[in-house]
Amino acid sequence: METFKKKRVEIILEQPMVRPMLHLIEKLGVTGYTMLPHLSGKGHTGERGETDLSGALANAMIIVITSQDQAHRLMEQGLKLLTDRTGIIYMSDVEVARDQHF
Amino acid sequence: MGDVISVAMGNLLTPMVLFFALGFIAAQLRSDLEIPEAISKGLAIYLMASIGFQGGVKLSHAGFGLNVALSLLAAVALSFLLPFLAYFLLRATTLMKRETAAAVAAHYGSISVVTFVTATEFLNSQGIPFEGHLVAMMALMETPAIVSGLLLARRGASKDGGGLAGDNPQMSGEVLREIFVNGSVVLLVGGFLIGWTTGDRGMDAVGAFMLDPFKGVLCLFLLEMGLVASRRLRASKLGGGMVLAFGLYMPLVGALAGLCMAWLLGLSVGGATLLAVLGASASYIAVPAAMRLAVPKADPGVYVTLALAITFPFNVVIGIPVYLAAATWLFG
Repeated sequence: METFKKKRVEIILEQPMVRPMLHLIEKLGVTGYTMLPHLSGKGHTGERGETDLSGALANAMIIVITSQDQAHRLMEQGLKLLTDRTGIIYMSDVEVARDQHF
Repeated sequence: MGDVISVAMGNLLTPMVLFFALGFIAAQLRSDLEIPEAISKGLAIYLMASIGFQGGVKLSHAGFGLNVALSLLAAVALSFLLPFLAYFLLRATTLMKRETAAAVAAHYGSISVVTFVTATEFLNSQGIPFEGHLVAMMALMETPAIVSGLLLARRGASKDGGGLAGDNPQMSGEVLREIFVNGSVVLLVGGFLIGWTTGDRGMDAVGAFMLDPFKGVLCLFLLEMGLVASRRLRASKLGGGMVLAFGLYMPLVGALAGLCMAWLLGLSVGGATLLAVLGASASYIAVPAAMRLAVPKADPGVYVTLALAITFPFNVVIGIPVYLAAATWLFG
Protein backbone atom coordinates (compact mmCIF):
# COMPACT_ATOMS: atom_id res chain seq x y z
CA MET A 1 0.00 0.00 0.00
CA GLU A 2 1.33 3.43 -0.91
CA THR A 3 1.72 5.90 1.98
CA PHE A 4 2.73 9.57 2.12
CA LYS A 5 5.08 11.21 4.61
CA LYS A 6 3.63 14.04 6.73
CA LYS A 7 4.30 15.78 10.03
CA ARG A 8 2.03 15.40 13.04
CA VAL A 9 2.05 18.45 15.31
CA GLU A 10 0.56 18.10 18.79
CA ILE A 11 -0.14 21.08 21.00
CA ILE A 12 -1.15 20.64 24.63
CA LEU A 13 -2.37 23.97 25.99
CA GLU A 14 -4.70 25.68 28.43
CA GLN A 15 -8.38 25.34 27.57
CA PRO A 16 -8.93 29.15 27.22
CA MET A 17 -6.12 29.27 24.62
CA VAL A 18 -7.81 26.80 22.27
CA ARG A 19 -9.68 29.41 20.22
CA PRO A 20 -6.64 31.65 19.62
CA MET A 21 -4.58 28.60 18.60
CA LEU A 22 -7.28 27.31 16.23
CA HIS A 23 -7.48 30.81 14.75
CA LEU A 24 -3.73 30.66 14.08
CA ILE A 25 -4.00 27.18 12.55
CA GLU A 26 -6.69 28.36 10.14
CA LYS A 27 -4.75 31.53 9.33
CA LEU A 28 -1.75 29.39 8.31
CA GLY A 29 -3.97 27.56 5.84
CA VAL A 30 -3.82 24.16 7.52
CA THR A 31 -6.76 22.18 6.19
CA GLY A 32 -7.81 20.29 9.31
CA TYR A 33 -7.24 19.56 12.98
CA THR A 34 -8.60 17.48 15.86
CA MET A 35 -9.24 19.03 19.26
CA LEU A 36 -9.51 17.02 22.46
CA PRO A 37 -11.01 19.18 25.25
CA HIS A 38 -10.97 18.83 29.06
CA LEU A 39 -7.72 16.97 29.65
CA SER A 40 -5.73 16.65 32.82
CA GLY A 41 -2.06 16.03 33.49
CA LYS A 42 1.09 17.18 35.23
CA GLY A 43 4.06 19.19 34.06
CA HIS A 44 6.57 21.80 35.22
CA THR A 45 3.73 24.12 36.32
CA GLY A 46 2.19 21.38 38.48
CA GLU A 47 -1.04 19.42 38.14
CA ARG A 48 -3.72 20.61 35.77
CA GLY A 49 -7.24 19.33 35.30
CA GLU A 50 -10.93 19.94 35.78
CA THR A 51 -10.96 21.35 39.28
CA ASP A 52 -12.96 24.47 38.45
CA LEU A 53 -15.93 25.43 36.30
CA SER A 54 -14.28 27.94 33.99
CA GLY A 55 -11.82 25.60 32.29
CA ALA A 56 -9.00 27.99 33.27
CA LEU A 57 -7.18 25.13 34.99
CA ALA A 58 -7.89 22.44 32.37
CA ASN A 59 -5.83 21.43 29.37
CA ALA A 60 -6.78 20.61 25.81
CA MET A 61 -4.90 19.01 22.94
CA ILE A 62 -4.87 19.98 19.29
CA ILE A 63 -3.58 17.49 16.72
CA VAL A 64 -2.63 18.62 13.23
CA ILE A 65 -1.30 16.48 10.39
CA THR A 66 0.20 18.55 7.61
CA SER A 67 3.14 19.09 5.27
CA GLN A 68 6.64 19.65 6.59
CA ASP A 69 6.62 23.38 5.69
CA GLN A 70 3.27 24.06 7.33
CA ALA A 71 4.30 22.08 10.40
CA HIS A 72 7.44 24.18 10.87
CA ARG A 73 5.47 27.40 10.47
CA LEU A 74 2.92 26.17 13.00
CA MET A 75 5.67 25.18 15.46
CA GLU A 76 7.29 28.61 15.18
CA GLN A 77 4.14 30.74 15.44
CA GLY A 78 2.38 28.44 17.91
CA LEU A 79 5.37 28.71 20.22
CA LYS A 80 5.08 32.52 20.11
CA LEU A 81 1.42 32.27 21.11
CA LEU A 82 2.39 30.12 24.10
CA THR A 83 4.91 32.66 25.45
CA ASP A 84 4.49 33.00 29.26
CA ARG A 85 1.88 30.24 29.22
CA THR A 86 1.55 26.64 30.22
CA GLY A 87 1.72 24.36 27.19
CA ILE A 88 3.90 22.19 24.99
CA ILE A 89 4.19 21.84 21.24
CA TYR A 90 6.01 19.08 19.41
CA MET A 91 6.01 17.23 16.09
CA SER A 92 6.74 13.78 14.77
CA ASP A 93 6.85 11.91 11.46
CA VAL A 94 3.77 10.03 10.31
CA GLU A 95 2.64 8.30 7.15
CA VAL A 96 -0.88 8.81 5.81
CA ALA A 97 -2.91 6.85 3.29
CA ARG A 98 -4.69 9.75 1.57
CA ASP A 99 -2.29 12.50 0.52
CA GLN A 100 -5.03 14.84 -0.75
CA HIS A 101 -6.55 15.17 2.76
CA PHE A 102 -3.54 17.08 4.06
CA MET B 1 -29.89 39.20 67.53
CA GLY B 2 -31.88 36.06 68.32
CA ASP B 3 -33.78 36.50 65.06
CA VAL B 4 -30.53 36.78 63.07
CA ILE B 5 -29.20 33.56 64.61
CA SER B 6 -32.45 31.73 63.96
CA VAL B 7 -32.50 32.92 60.31
CA ALA B 8 -28.82 31.91 59.92
CA MET B 9 -29.55 28.47 61.38
CA GLY B 10 -32.58 28.20 59.08
CA ASN B 11 -30.28 28.88 56.12
CA LEU B 12 -27.86 26.15 57.24
CA LEU B 13 -30.67 23.61 57.24
CA THR B 14 -32.06 24.32 53.77
CA PRO B 15 -31.71 21.48 51.23
CA MET B 16 -29.54 23.79 49.07
CA VAL B 17 -26.88 24.37 51.74
CA LEU B 18 -27.03 20.75 52.89
CA PHE B 19 -26.46 19.47 49.34
CA PHE B 20 -23.52 21.85 49.05
CA ALA B 21 -22.16 20.49 52.35
CA LEU B 22 -22.67 16.92 51.12
CA GLY B 23 -20.58 17.60 48.02
CA PHE B 24 -17.91 19.36 50.05
CA ILE B 25 -17.62 16.53 52.58
CA ALA B 26 -17.73 13.81 49.90
CA ALA B 27 -14.75 15.38 48.11
CA GLN B 28 -12.83 15.79 51.37
CA LEU B 29 -13.41 12.07 52.02
CA ARG B 30 -12.07 11.40 48.49
CA SER B 31 -15.36 9.84 47.41
CA ASP B 32 -15.60 9.00 43.71
CA LEU B 33 -18.93 10.87 43.54
CA GLU B 34 -19.00 13.13 40.51
CA ILE B 35 -21.53 14.79 38.26
CA PRO B 36 -20.65 14.37 34.58
CA GLU B 37 -19.44 17.63 33.09
CA ALA B 38 -22.13 17.76 30.42
CA ILE B 39 -24.83 17.39 33.07
CA SER B 40 -23.38 20.10 35.32
CA LYS B 41 -23.20 22.43 32.31
CA GLY B 42 -26.82 21.58 31.52
CA LEU B 43 -27.83 22.37 35.10
CA ALA B 44 -26.00 25.72 34.94
CA ILE B 45 -27.71 26.57 31.65
CA TYR B 46 -31.11 25.74 33.14
CA LEU B 47 -30.47 27.88 36.24
CA MET B 48 -29.29 30.89 34.23
CA ALA B 49 -32.12 30.71 31.69
CA SER B 50 -34.69 30.27 34.47
CA ILE B 51 -33.45 33.07 36.75
CA GLY B 52 -33.18 35.44 33.77
CA PHE B 53 -36.70 34.53 32.65
CA GLN B 54 -38.18 34.90 36.15
CA GLY B 55 -36.57 38.35 36.55
CA GLY B 56 -37.93 39.47 33.18
CA VAL B 57 -41.47 38.38 34.08
CA LYS B 58 -41.20 40.32 37.35
CA LEU B 59 -40.09 43.43 35.49
CA SER B 60 -43.03 43.07 33.10
CA HIS B 61 -45.25 43.57 36.17
CA ALA B 62 -43.32 46.51 37.63
CA GLY B 63 -42.52 48.26 34.34
CA PHE B 64 -39.27 49.86 33.14
CA GLY B 65 -38.82 53.31 34.70
CA LEU B 66 -36.06 55.74 35.56
CA ASN B 67 -35.29 53.87 38.78
CA VAL B 68 -34.64 50.68 36.81
CA ALA B 69 -32.38 52.52 34.34
CA LEU B 70 -30.44 54.09 37.22
CA SER B 71 -30.14 50.70 38.91
CA LEU B 72 -28.64 49.18 35.78
CA LEU B 73 -26.09 51.99 35.51
CA ALA B 74 -25.29 51.61 39.22
CA ALA B 75 -24.70 47.88 38.73
CA VAL B 76 -22.15 48.54 35.99
CA ALA B 77 -20.44 51.18 38.16
CA LEU B 78 -20.30 48.84 41.18
CA SER B 79 -18.77 46.03 39.15
CA PHE B 80 -16.25 48.41 37.56
CA LEU B 81 -15.19 50.10 40.80
CA LEU B 82 -14.99 47.16 43.25
CA PRO B 83 -11.81 45.70 41.68
CA PHE B 84 -9.89 48.92 42.42
CA LEU B 85 -10.76 48.58 46.11
CA ALA B 86 -9.94 44.86 46.08
CA TYR B 87 -6.60 45.52 44.35
CA PHE B 88 -5.68 48.19 46.90
CA LEU B 89 -6.50 45.84 49.80
CA LEU B 90 -4.54 42.97 48.27
CA ARG B 91 -1.47 45.08 47.57
CA ALA B 92 -1.63 46.64 51.03
CA THR B 93 -2.05 43.40 52.98
CA THR B 94 -0.33 40.65 50.95
CA LEU B 95 2.84 40.05 48.97
CA MET B 96 0.84 39.05 45.90
CA LYS B 97 2.34 40.00 42.50
CA ARG B 98 0.69 42.85 40.62
CA GLU B 99 -0.70 40.71 37.79
CA THR B 100 -2.19 38.13 40.15
CA ALA B 101 -3.63 40.85 42.40
CA ALA B 102 -5.23 42.53 39.36
CA ALA B 103 -6.74 39.23 38.23
CA VAL B 104 -8.05 38.42 41.74
CA ALA B 105 -9.51 41.94 41.97
CA ALA B 106 -11.39 41.43 38.69
CA HIS B 107 -13.05 38.31 40.12
CA TYR B 108 -14.36 40.26 43.11
CA GLY B 109 -15.94 42.98 40.95
CA SER B 110 -17.79 40.35 38.95
CA ILE B 111 -20.49 38.12 40.44
CA SER B 112 -21.46 34.52 41.09
CA VAL B 113 -24.78 33.55 39.51
CA VAL B 114 -25.19 30.54 41.80
CA THR B 115 -24.70 32.62 44.95
CA PHE B 116 -27.32 35.05 43.66
CA VAL B 117 -29.75 32.24 42.80
CA THR B 118 -29.24 30.64 46.24
CA ALA B 119 -29.94 34.04 47.84
CA THR B 120 -33.17 34.47 45.85
CA GLU B 121 -34.35 31.05 47.04
CA PHE B 122 -33.40 31.99 50.60
CA LEU B 123 -35.46 35.20 50.34
CA ASN B 124 -38.38 33.27 48.82
CA SER B 125 -38.25 30.80 51.71
CA GLN B 126 -38.42 33.75 54.15
CA GLY B 127 -41.30 35.33 52.21
CA ILE B 128 -39.24 38.46 51.45
CA PRO B 129 -40.00 40.05 48.05
CA PHE B 130 -37.36 41.68 45.83
CA GLU B 131 -37.30 43.72 42.64
CA GLY B 132 -37.23 41.77 39.35
CA HIS B 133 -34.62 43.99 37.74
CA LEU B 134 -31.99 42.74 40.20
CA VAL B 135 -31.54 39.89 37.72
CA ALA B 136 -30.67 42.35 34.96
CA MET B 137 -28.30 44.12 37.36
CA MET B 138 -26.62 40.76 37.99
CA ALA B 139 -26.19 40.10 34.26
CA LEU B 140 -24.65 43.55 33.76
CA MET B 141 -22.23 43.02 36.66
CA GLU B 142 -20.66 39.92 35.09
CA THR B 143 -18.08 41.65 32.94
CA PRO B 144 -17.25 45.35 33.64
CA ALA B 145 -14.84 44.05 36.28
CA ILE B 146 -12.83 42.32 33.55
CA VAL B 147 -12.06 45.77 32.10
CA SER B 148 -10.99 47.05 35.53
CA GLY B 149 -8.80 43.98 36.02
CA LEU B 150 -7.13 44.60 32.67
CA LEU B 151 -6.54 48.27 33.51
CA LEU B 152 -4.96 47.28 36.83
CA ALA B 153 -2.84 44.57 35.20
CA ARG B 154 -1.74 46.98 32.46
CA ARG B 155 -0.69 49.50 35.09
CA GLY B 156 1.33 46.81 36.81
CA ALA B 157 2.78 45.55 33.53
CA SER B 158 3.95 49.00 32.44
CA LYS B 159 5.66 49.51 35.80
CA ASP B 160 7.36 46.12 35.62
CA GLY B 161 8.23 46.48 31.95
CA GLY B 162 6.26 43.34 31.08
CA GLY B 163 3.66 42.90 28.35
CA LEU B 164 0.07 41.80 28.45
CA ALA B 165 -1.39 39.25 26.09
CA GLY B 166 -4.26 41.69 25.62
CA ASP B 167 -1.90 43.93 23.64
CA ASN B 168 -1.90 41.35 20.83
CA PRO B 169 -4.82 42.30 18.49
CA GLN B 170 -6.01 38.71 18.15
CA MET B 171 -6.02 38.19 21.92
CA SER B 172 -7.78 41.54 22.40
CA GLY B 173 -10.55 40.24 20.15
CA GLU B 174 -10.83 37.09 22.24
CA VAL B 175 -11.03 39.11 25.47
CA LEU B 176 -13.67 41.45 23.99
CA ARG B 177 -15.70 38.42 22.96
CA GLU B 178 -15.38 37.12 26.52
CA ILE B 179 -16.58 40.49 27.89
CA PHE B 180 -19.59 41.09 25.66
CA VAL B 181 -20.85 37.72 24.46
CA ASN B 182 -19.71 35.13 26.97
CA GLY B 183 -22.31 32.41 27.36
CA SER B 184 -23.61 33.33 30.81
CA VAL B 185 -24.20 36.99 29.89
CA VAL B 186 -26.00 36.01 26.67
CA LEU B 187 -28.19 33.52 28.51
CA LEU B 188 -29.04 35.77 31.47
CA VAL B 189 -29.79 38.82 29.33
CA GLY B 190 -31.59 36.72 26.71
CA GLY B 191 -33.73 34.90 29.31
CA PHE B 192 -34.50 38.23 30.98
CA LEU B 193 -35.62 39.83 27.69
CA ILE B 194 -37.77 36.80 26.85
CA GLY B 195 -39.40 36.92 30.29
CA TRP B 196 -39.93 40.68 30.05
CA THR B 197 -41.41 40.46 26.56
CA THR B 198 -43.73 37.51 27.20
CA GLY B 199 -44.68 38.32 30.83
CA ASP B 200 -47.47 36.25 32.41
CA ARG B 201 -48.34 34.66 29.07
CA GLY B 202 -44.80 33.31 28.88
CA MET B 203 -44.89 32.13 32.48
CA ASP B 204 -48.14 30.27 31.86
CA ALA B 205 -46.56 28.60 28.85
CA VAL B 206 -43.22 27.47 30.35
CA GLY B 207 -43.60 27.98 34.12
CA ALA B 208 -43.98 24.24 34.74
CA PHE B 209 -40.45 23.79 33.39
CA MET B 210 -38.82 27.12 34.24
CA LEU B 211 -40.12 27.47 37.80
CA ASP B 212 -41.27 24.21 39.39
CA PRO B 213 -38.06 22.11 39.15
CA PHE B 214 -35.89 25.13 40.01
CA LYS B 215 -35.12 24.26 43.65
CA GLY B 216 -34.31 20.63 42.88
CA VAL B 217 -31.96 21.59 40.04
CA LEU B 218 -30.29 24.16 42.30
CA CYS B 219 -29.70 21.43 44.91
CA LEU B 220 -27.99 19.21 42.33
CA PHE B 221 -25.87 22.10 41.06
CA LEU B 222 -24.87 23.01 44.61
CA LEU B 223 -23.85 19.39 45.16
CA GLU B 224 -21.53 19.79 42.17
CA MET B 225 -20.29 23.14 43.52
CA GLY B 226 -19.51 21.49 46.85
CA LEU B 227 -17.46 18.79 45.10
CA VAL B 228 -15.61 21.29 42.91
CA ALA B 229 -14.92 23.81 45.70
CA SER B 230 -13.68 21.11 48.04
CA ARG B 231 -11.38 19.51 45.44
CA ARG B 232 -10.02 22.93 44.49
CA LEU B 233 -9.34 23.70 48.15
CA ARG B 234 -7.46 20.43 48.56
CA ALA B 235 -5.31 21.08 45.50
CA SER B 236 -4.57 24.72 46.27
CA LYS B 237 -1.58 26.59 47.61
CA LEU B 238 -2.80 30.09 48.39
CA GLY B 239 0.49 31.27 49.84
CA GLY B 240 -0.34 33.03 53.07
CA GLY B 241 -2.95 33.66 55.72
CA MET B 242 -3.65 37.19 54.53
CA VAL B 243 -4.60 35.88 51.07
CA LEU B 244 -7.00 33.44 52.70
CA ALA B 245 -8.32 36.24 54.93
CA PHE B 246 -8.95 38.37 51.83
CA GLY B 247 -11.32 35.68 50.54
CA LEU B 248 -13.30 36.04 53.78
CA TYR B 249 -13.28 39.79 54.42
CA MET B 250 -13.58 41.02 50.84
CA PRO B 251 -17.16 39.65 50.54
CA LEU B 252 -18.08 41.73 53.59
CA VAL B 253 -16.48 44.83 52.04
CA GLY B 254 -18.29 44.17 48.74
CA ALA B 255 -21.58 43.57 50.57
CA LEU B 256 -21.20 46.90 52.37
CA ALA B 257 -20.62 48.64 49.02
CA GLY B 258 -23.73 46.89 47.67
CA LEU B 259 -25.79 48.01 50.65
CA CYS B 260 -24.61 51.63 50.20
CA MET B 261 -25.61 51.44 46.53
CA ALA B 262 -28.99 49.92 47.52
CA TRP B 263 -29.58 52.84 49.89
CA LEU B 264 -28.85 55.34 47.10
CA LEU B 265 -31.22 53.48 44.76
CA GLY B 266 -33.97 53.12 47.38
CA LEU B 267 -34.24 49.33 47.03
CA SER B 268 -36.43 47.15 49.26
CA VAL B 269 -34.94 44.92 51.98
CA GLY B 270 -34.97 41.96 49.57
CA GLY B 271 -33.42 44.02 46.77
CA ALA B 272 -30.76 45.44 49.10
CA THR B 273 -29.90 41.91 50.29
CA LEU B 274 -29.45 40.74 46.71
CA LEU B 275 -27.32 43.76 45.78
CA ALA B 276 -25.18 43.04 48.85
CA VAL B 277 -24.86 39.43 47.62
CA LEU B 278 -23.81 40.69 44.18
CA GLY B 279 -21.21 42.98 45.76
CA ALA B 280 -19.97 40.15 47.96
CA SER B 281 -19.76 37.35 45.42
CA ALA B 282 -16.87 36.60 43.09
CA SER B 283 -16.91 35.13 39.60
CA TYR B 284 -15.52 31.66 38.95
CA ILE B 285 -16.76 31.05 35.40
CA ALA B 286 -16.53 34.10 33.11
CA VAL B 287 -13.61 35.98 34.66
CA PRO B 288 -11.04 33.15 35.08
CA ALA B 289 -11.15 32.37 31.36
CA ALA B 290 -10.79 36.06 30.43
CA MET B 291 -7.91 36.58 32.85
CA ARG B 292 -6.16 33.45 31.60
CA LEU B 293 -6.33 34.87 28.09
CA ALA B 294 -5.31 38.42 28.89
CA VAL B 295 -3.00 38.20 31.91
CA PRO B 296 -0.96 35.01 31.48
CA LYS B 297 1.46 35.87 34.29
CA ALA B 298 -1.34 35.94 36.89
CA ASP B 299 -1.61 32.72 38.90
CA PRO B 300 -4.96 30.98 38.21
CA GLY B 301 -4.43 28.69 41.21
CA VAL B 302 -4.83 31.76 43.44
CA TYR B 303 -7.79 33.50 41.81
CA VAL B 304 -9.86 30.40 41.09
CA THR B 305 -9.28 29.05 44.61
CA LEU B 306 -10.18 32.31 46.33
CA ALA B 307 -13.39 32.84 44.36
CA LEU B 308 -14.53 29.23 44.23
CA ALA B 309 -13.23 27.52 47.36
CA ILE B 310 -13.17 30.34 49.92
CA THR B 311 -15.61 33.13 49.02
CA PHE B 312 -18.35 31.02 47.44
CA PRO B 313 -18.81 28.67 50.45
CA PHE B 314 -18.53 31.63 52.84
CA ASN B 315 -21.33 33.49 51.05
CA VAL B 316 -23.63 30.48 50.68
CA VAL B 317 -23.29 29.25 54.25
CA ILE B 318 -22.73 32.42 56.30
CA GLY B 319 -22.86 35.49 54.10
CA ILE B 320 -26.43 35.42 52.74
CA PRO B 321 -28.22 35.47 56.14
CA VAL B 322 -25.74 38.07 57.41
CA TYR B 323 -26.45 40.34 54.42
CA LEU B 324 -30.19 39.90 54.98
CA ALA B 325 -29.77 40.82 58.65
CA ALA B 326 -27.74 43.92 57.70
CA ALA B 327 -30.30 44.96 55.06
CA THR B 328 -33.17 44.43 57.51
CA TRP B 329 -31.36 46.49 60.15
CA LEU B 330 -30.59 49.31 57.69
CA PHE B 331 -33.76 49.38 55.57
CA GLY B 332 -36.37 47.42 57.51
